[in-house]
Amino acid sequence: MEKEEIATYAYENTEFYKEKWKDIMEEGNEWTWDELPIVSKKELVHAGIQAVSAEYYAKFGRDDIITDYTSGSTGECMEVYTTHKEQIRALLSLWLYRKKFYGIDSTARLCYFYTFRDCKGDEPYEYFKNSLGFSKGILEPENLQFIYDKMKEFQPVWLLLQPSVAMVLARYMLEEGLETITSVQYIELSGEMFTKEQKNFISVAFNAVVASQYGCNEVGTIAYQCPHGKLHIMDQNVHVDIINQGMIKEDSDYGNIIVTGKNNKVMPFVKYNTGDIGKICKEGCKCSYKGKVLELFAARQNDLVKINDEWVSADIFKRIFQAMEWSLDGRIYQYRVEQKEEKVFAVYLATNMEKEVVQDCFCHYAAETSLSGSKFYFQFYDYILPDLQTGKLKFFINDIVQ
Amino acid sequence: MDKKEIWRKLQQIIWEITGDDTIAIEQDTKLIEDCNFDSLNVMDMLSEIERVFGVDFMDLEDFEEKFNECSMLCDGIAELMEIHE
Repeated sequence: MEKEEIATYAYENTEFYKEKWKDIMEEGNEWTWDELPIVSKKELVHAGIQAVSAEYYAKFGRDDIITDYTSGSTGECMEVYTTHKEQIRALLSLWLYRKKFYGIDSTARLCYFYTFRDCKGDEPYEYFKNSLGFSKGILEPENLQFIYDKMKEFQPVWLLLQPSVAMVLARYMLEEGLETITSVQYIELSGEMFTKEQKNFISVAFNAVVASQYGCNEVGTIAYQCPHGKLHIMDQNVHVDIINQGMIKEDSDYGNIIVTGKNNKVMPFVKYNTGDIGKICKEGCKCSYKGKVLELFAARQNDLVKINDEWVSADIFKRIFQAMEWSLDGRIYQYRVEQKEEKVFAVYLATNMEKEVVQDCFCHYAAETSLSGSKFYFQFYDYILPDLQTGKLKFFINDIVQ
Repeated sequence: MDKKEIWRKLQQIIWEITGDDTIAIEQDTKLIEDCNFDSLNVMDMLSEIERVFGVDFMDLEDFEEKFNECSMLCDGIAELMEIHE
């Protein structure tokens, strides 16, 4: 369905959109896409069943309706409803492009990690058709050899991982001098932002091509990275608007990523605020994929740092770590920053460098920013693991209430 | 290749995927609802179709609308074969 069709469908079939758009879409009114207001996750969580299409009410409780959950990384976990057919339709274009770009089809053996919510039992791993999944609950340093051995035995062709998980495995393999799992040809990263340096590190450690898949449980895949490194919007699956100060931006300006899912009628997501920031790039791509190119900003809309009574993007820390990577000889594998008070930060690092060197370098670059005068408390770890509940690793957490 | 031949080969592919050549595959058969196809089955089928017919589903507009009902899939394959000729 095209975006206007799904909007009309949502208005006619869900109480939530009927109420939200009643002044815009009243009978006889001609409306434009730009007029429709943005929908937030909070609104949909509170709407509950009212966000579900009346056409599907009778099908709840039967096998027809699938329930999925958002990760909860924003603090709110939402139930998302769809059907098998809609779910498959949403996956189709991703599968076809995986095959076209990277030669990966449905017969290729796969390894992945799942959260507690996704696992079907107490087993630390499970086999399903041609895949082997590991519980993130066993992603501890003492289990890494077990995971490596099981993967090597299974001989996967591709891995579907979150960047933090890939970094943990990549580091372990390199530091222990383990041979690469030669069957692995392709690694798909999703669920978290990551740097070019991390991507290259993972690629070298596994000797495999690495590509990024950007999406969310609400609408599925939003964009997929081609072999030329560009993130292409999956037009068959989703419509993307970049909205900045209420205006739709087409012209390479950063703004909030607002999505409309084209495949979910059970629970329509129309002009839904993902919470991420990005821009649509004017420049095209050399690849055959016609989908527009999306560039993501590292920090989310709510990843804000309070400095001098103002809220600024947490991207400021990404730039500090990037500067450190360029100027130091060693590696910063992972990091997380938590703002405790306005001028007090906890900095968690997994690195192979001398602690004092890293601390001094961080403070040097931080002093050149608006963070100057802040106190930083450093803690060093072998690995920084993703959150067990959400399955994700956030690079910035603010403990100050906005 | 005429539509009759396309249909015959498509039925063969679907039977191979289901592992059961006794189930009825008609023009109005829906792969998900009637044959219990999951996403992997659908992808297996599309890959096999591409191999057998020498086509590329990326060339088919709205392929995501046409994969479920057999008659639409058959028409889609015919359309793709015309593009490739």
